[in-house]
Amino acid sequence: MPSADLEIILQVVSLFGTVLLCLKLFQTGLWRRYPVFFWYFTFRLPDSIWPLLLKADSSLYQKLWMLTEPVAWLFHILVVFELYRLVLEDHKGLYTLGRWAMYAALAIAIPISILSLIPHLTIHTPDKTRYMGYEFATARGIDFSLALFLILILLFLSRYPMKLSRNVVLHAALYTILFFSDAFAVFLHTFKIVATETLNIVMIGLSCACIAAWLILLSPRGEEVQAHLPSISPRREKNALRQLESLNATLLKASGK
Amino acid sequence: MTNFIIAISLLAAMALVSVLAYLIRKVGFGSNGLPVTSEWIDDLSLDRYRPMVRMLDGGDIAFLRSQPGFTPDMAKKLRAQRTQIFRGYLRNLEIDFGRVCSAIKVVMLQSKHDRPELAEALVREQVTFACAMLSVRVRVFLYSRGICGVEVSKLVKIFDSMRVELRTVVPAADRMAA
Repeated sequence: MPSADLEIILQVVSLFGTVLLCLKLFQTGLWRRYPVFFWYFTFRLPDSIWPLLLKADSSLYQKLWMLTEPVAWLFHILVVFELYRLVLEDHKGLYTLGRWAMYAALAIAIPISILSLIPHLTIHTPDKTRYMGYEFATARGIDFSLALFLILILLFLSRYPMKLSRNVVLHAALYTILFFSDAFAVFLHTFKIVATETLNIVMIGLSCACIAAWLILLSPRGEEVQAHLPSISPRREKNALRQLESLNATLLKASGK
Repeated sequence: MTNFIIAISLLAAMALVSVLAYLIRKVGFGSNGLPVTSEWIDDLSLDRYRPMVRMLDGGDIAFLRSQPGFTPDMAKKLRAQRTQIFRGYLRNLEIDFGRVCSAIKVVMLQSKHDRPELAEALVREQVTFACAMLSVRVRVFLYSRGICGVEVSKLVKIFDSMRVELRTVVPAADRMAA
C-alpha cells in the first residue's frame, strides 16, 4: 500500500476515534472532570478534518497549520496542568509540597528543553520556511518540557505511598508518550534523519493507539481509588501541628542555630 | 552520524519507556502497606543506635596502641571490623528514617487540608538527614583509611526528632494494611 494512502487511512481512523472519544466523555460525564481534555479533543475534530481536504504543500495548508499549532500547544500545557490540579485536589495535604515540586520540575524541564533547541536554532533553514521552522522548534520545546515535567511530577508522586486513580494514571502515561514522541518526531524531522512520510505514519499511528487506549480504558469506574490509609482525628492533627512547632525548635537547637 | 543519532535516540526512548513504566507501576499499582502501627513506633528506639556514637571515635584504637604487643595490623583489623559493623548500623538507621518519613507522608496524604508546616519539616529533615548521612559516609571512609574518627550524634538527633513526630501523629488505634 502506498504510504500516502496509509497516512490518509490512519488520519480517518484518528478522526473517527476522536469523535468516539468526545462522545464517550460527554456520555459518561467525564468531560466535567476533565474539561480541558474534552475541549482539546473537540478542537482536534476540525483540526483533523482540514488536513484531509488540503494538499500538504499548499500555502493554505501551511497557513492553517501555523495558525492552529499554537492553539494545540496551549491545550497541551492546559491538559497537563489540569491533570496536576486533579492530583492535588484529591490530596490536599500535599498542596504546598506539590507546588514546590511543580516549581522544581519547571525549573529543570524548561532549561533542558531550551538547551535541546540550540541545535535546531543554529541549523540552516531556508527563508521561506523560517517561520515554520520556528514553530517546529517551539513545538518540540513545549512538548519536550511538558513530557519532562510529567516524568518529574510522577517521580515526586512515586515517593509517596499513594495510589492514583486509573484514569489519572492513564492520562499521565499517554500524555508523556504523546509529548515525548511529538518532540522526538520533530527532532527527527528537523535533522532529516527519517523520511517525513514514514514519520507522519508512525506519529499518526501512535496517536491512534493513544486514542484507542483512552477510548477503551477511560471510564467513570476508573475514577475510584482504593486506598488503605489510617484516619486521623482533627484533635490528632492539631497535636501534630503543635508537636511540629516544638520539633522545629528542637531541630534548630540541634543544628546549633 | 545519522545511524549514531538514531541509536542514541532509540536507547533514550527505551530508557524513557522503562522509567515511565516503573513510575506508573508505583503510582498506579503501588502497595500502600506500611509498618506504621503504634507497636512499630514503640519499637523504634534510639537505644539501638547508641553504640554508633562511640564506635568510631578512635578511643579504642588509642587504647589498643597503648597496650604492649600492639601492631599496626591489629589497628587495621579493628578499624575494618568497626567500619563493617558501623555501616550495618547506618543501613538500619536509613531504613528506619525512611519508614518514619513514609508514615509522615501518609499523615499528609490523608489530610483534608494543606499541611505546609509538615511539608516544610519533612523536606528540612530529609535534606538535613541526607547531608548528615553523606558527611558521615565520607568520614567512615576516612576512618577506614585511618585518617579520622566519626561524629554521629547529629544524625541520631535528626532521626529522633522524626521518631517523636511520628509517635505524636499516628494514633494507637490506627493500623496500616501490611
